Formats: sequence, structure tokens, C-alpha cells
Amino acid sequence: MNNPPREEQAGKSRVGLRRLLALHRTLGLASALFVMVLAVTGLALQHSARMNLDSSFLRWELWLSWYRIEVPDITVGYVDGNSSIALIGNSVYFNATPVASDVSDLQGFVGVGQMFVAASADSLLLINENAQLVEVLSAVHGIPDSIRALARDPQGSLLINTTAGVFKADLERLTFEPSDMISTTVDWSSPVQLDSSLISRVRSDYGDTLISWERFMLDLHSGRILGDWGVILMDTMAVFFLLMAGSGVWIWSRRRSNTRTR
Amino acid sequence: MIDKRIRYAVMLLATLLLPPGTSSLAKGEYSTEPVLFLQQVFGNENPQSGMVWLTGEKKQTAAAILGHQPGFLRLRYWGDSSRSAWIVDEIGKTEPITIGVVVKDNRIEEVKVLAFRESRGWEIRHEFFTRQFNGISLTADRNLSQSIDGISGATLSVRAINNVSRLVLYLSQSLVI
Repeated sequence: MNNPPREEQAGKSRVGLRRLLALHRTLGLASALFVMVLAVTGLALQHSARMNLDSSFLRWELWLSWYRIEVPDITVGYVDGNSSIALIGNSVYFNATPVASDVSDLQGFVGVGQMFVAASADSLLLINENAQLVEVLSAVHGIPDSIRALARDPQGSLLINTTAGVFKADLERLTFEPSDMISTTVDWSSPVQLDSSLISRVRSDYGDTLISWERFMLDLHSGRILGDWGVILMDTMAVFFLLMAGSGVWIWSRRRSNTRTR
Repeated sequence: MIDKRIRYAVMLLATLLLPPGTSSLAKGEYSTEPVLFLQQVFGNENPQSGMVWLTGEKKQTAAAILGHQPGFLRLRYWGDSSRSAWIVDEIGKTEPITIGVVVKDNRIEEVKVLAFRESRGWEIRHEFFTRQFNGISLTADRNLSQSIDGISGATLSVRAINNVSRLVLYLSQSLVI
């Protein structure tokens, strides 16, 4: 007597299960590519230091325009003889070769003996002719504070112009003695407009260090590579994953109970 | 009882939501000025400053210890071969960490993080971590004579401070020679 409604109910249940299976399959197919992207980028990020992703860079201009990043102009440049120094962002370039980072300003640049000296307000960068950073001197080495300019005196010694006066420096012995030279009589190094081909080389090299592979992977992982829409897309995929997990468990439990009933 | 549970839950949630790299230090700011560090090490004495050039074998060994070519060609120290203080910048992940190391009779007397600029791994600044280096020397294969307990999430900073300690111990040995 009760058999027809039970069969009807079982039929409805089978139809429901089939629909759920179809939904599960569709969600799975739609999100498969994203699962792969998330897995690959996640693995790469997990081992980013070992894979040097933070120190390897995307060197294509296309990526800079995709990210809408504009390479900044050179903030300031100096020339002494055939050698030049340029500050771009927080990086210092000697003859278009990067020599130092984390530098906020440049106040002067002169060649002294076999070395070149570049100054920020509170430090001196010693660079050799092969564009290698020899040393960075700061307050701990006794250099005078608030540097405004550098120059060479007639004997070839380094002169430092500061707000507290002019100092004659011996960078080997680390002595900084007040000089009796009057600052207005000294030919202090002053900023110049650098050669356009040099500017282009510096900007190009600096531009190549702006997007690391780690950032790229992170943006790919989060969807931010596509801007706000990418984030929404990844959020949608996350919801799909949750629905798949839910529908998967549901299908499994229904099939399990059906098998038991039989 | 329920209030207590809620309070604990709120405290736990607040702890979890706090950014792990929260630090009172501004970017690039010194927690200890290098000048002050030297004053703490040598008191009122005015220590002699010397320098070590990283050329030839020293440069190769320094590169092997740091895991990359050193970013400088010479390094200053204060003091003498029996007790010396060194200040070294080493990249943690992307930013330089300024580390002060004092060596006495070829053993580390003190390690101090003078400036930390990274967003993660700042825990290495604390004494509970740096005091592990006290008394450590360099083995024949240029490793530290004792293992250092790392800090989860600060692997690169820990590696940087370990490598700088090894480098300073190696270079201070060259002063004796």
C-alpha cells in the first residue's frame, strides 16, 4: 500500500542526487584551472627563499605597464671626470651600475685617489673604479653630520661641507678635521643633468628590479594580478571550492545510505 | 564562567588578528645607535679603529659564509685582536639588518641587532634570542660551535645573524694572525 509513494520519493531523491552530481561536476571543471594555479603558486611561495623568487625579477616592460608602474626619474646626478653617480628611487648607480640601496639623498660626488666618494646627508659611500662598494661610513665612523657638499682640495684630499663648517677628511685613518678653507672659495661638486643614454640605461636597469617573481606569484595566487576583478574572481572560486566540498560530502553520504538501504 | 570564556575568546581573537610583524620601530630606525653600541662595549675608552679588506681568500670565504658575495670590500672594527667590536649590515629577506658583534678571545661576547628594517622576523632583536650566541666560537669548518634555536617565521633573519656571527668570528681570527 505504501510502496508507490516510497518509490516516488526514491525517484525524486535519485533525480536530486543526479542534479547535485551535475552541479558538483560543473563546479569541479570550472575551478580545476584555478586549483592548479593556486597549488603551483602556493608551492612556489612556500619555497620562495629557496627558489630566490624574492631576488629574481620580471624583466619585461610589458609587466611594468600591466602593473601600471612607471619607472621614476633620476632624482639627482653628479659627474667627476668620466665617472658619474645617479640616485633613482633609493638606489645609487655608479656609471650605470647599481652599487648601493637604501640611500635617500645624494649631496656630492668626487674622486679621491683611487676611489670615488658619494655623500648623502649622513653617510659617505666609498666606491672603487670597478663599481664595487668598498665601504659605507656613517656617524659611527665619526663622519660629520648634515653633509651638504663634497670637494677635493688642491692636495687631492676630501673636503666635506656641512652645516657645522668645512672638514678635511682622511678616509683611511678616519680623521675629520675642521678646515680653515672658506666654503665659498671651494669648487664644490654640484648636481648636473646626466647624459640621456646614461639616464636611459639607469632607468632601464632600475625598472628591471621593480617586480619580483615573488610578488608576481603572490598576485597570481590572490588574483590581484587582474586588479579588483581578479580578487572577486578568486573569491568566487573560493565559494565554488566550499560548494564543491559541501556537495561532495553530501553525495558521498547519500550514496553511502543508499548502499546501506539496499 | 561564561563571561570568562567570552573574555578568553576575545583575547585569543585579538591576538590572532594582530599583525605578526607589529613593532614599535619605524622603518630603518635604530633600536640602538651604533655610536651608543660602541660606548656600551668600550665605556669611556676611545677604541682604535682598524679595517679588514675582503680580498682573495678572505673574499671567497666571506662569500661562502654569507651564501653570497659580500656587499662591501672592507670592514671596520673597533678594539684589537683580543677584544673587538664589529658592525655589519646583512640582508635578511630584502632589507639590511644592522648587527653589532663583540668578540673576545675568539669567542662571541655579545650580539646585538642595532637596526631591523624587515617587516617579519623582528623577534631576533630580543635578548632571549641573541644571548644564545654568547661564548660561541668558530669550528674548523667555520660553523658556530653551538647550534642556535631558530624562531618560527624568522628563518631568514636568523640565518642572517648566524652568518654575520660566523663572518665576524672568522675575520677576528685573522686579526690574531
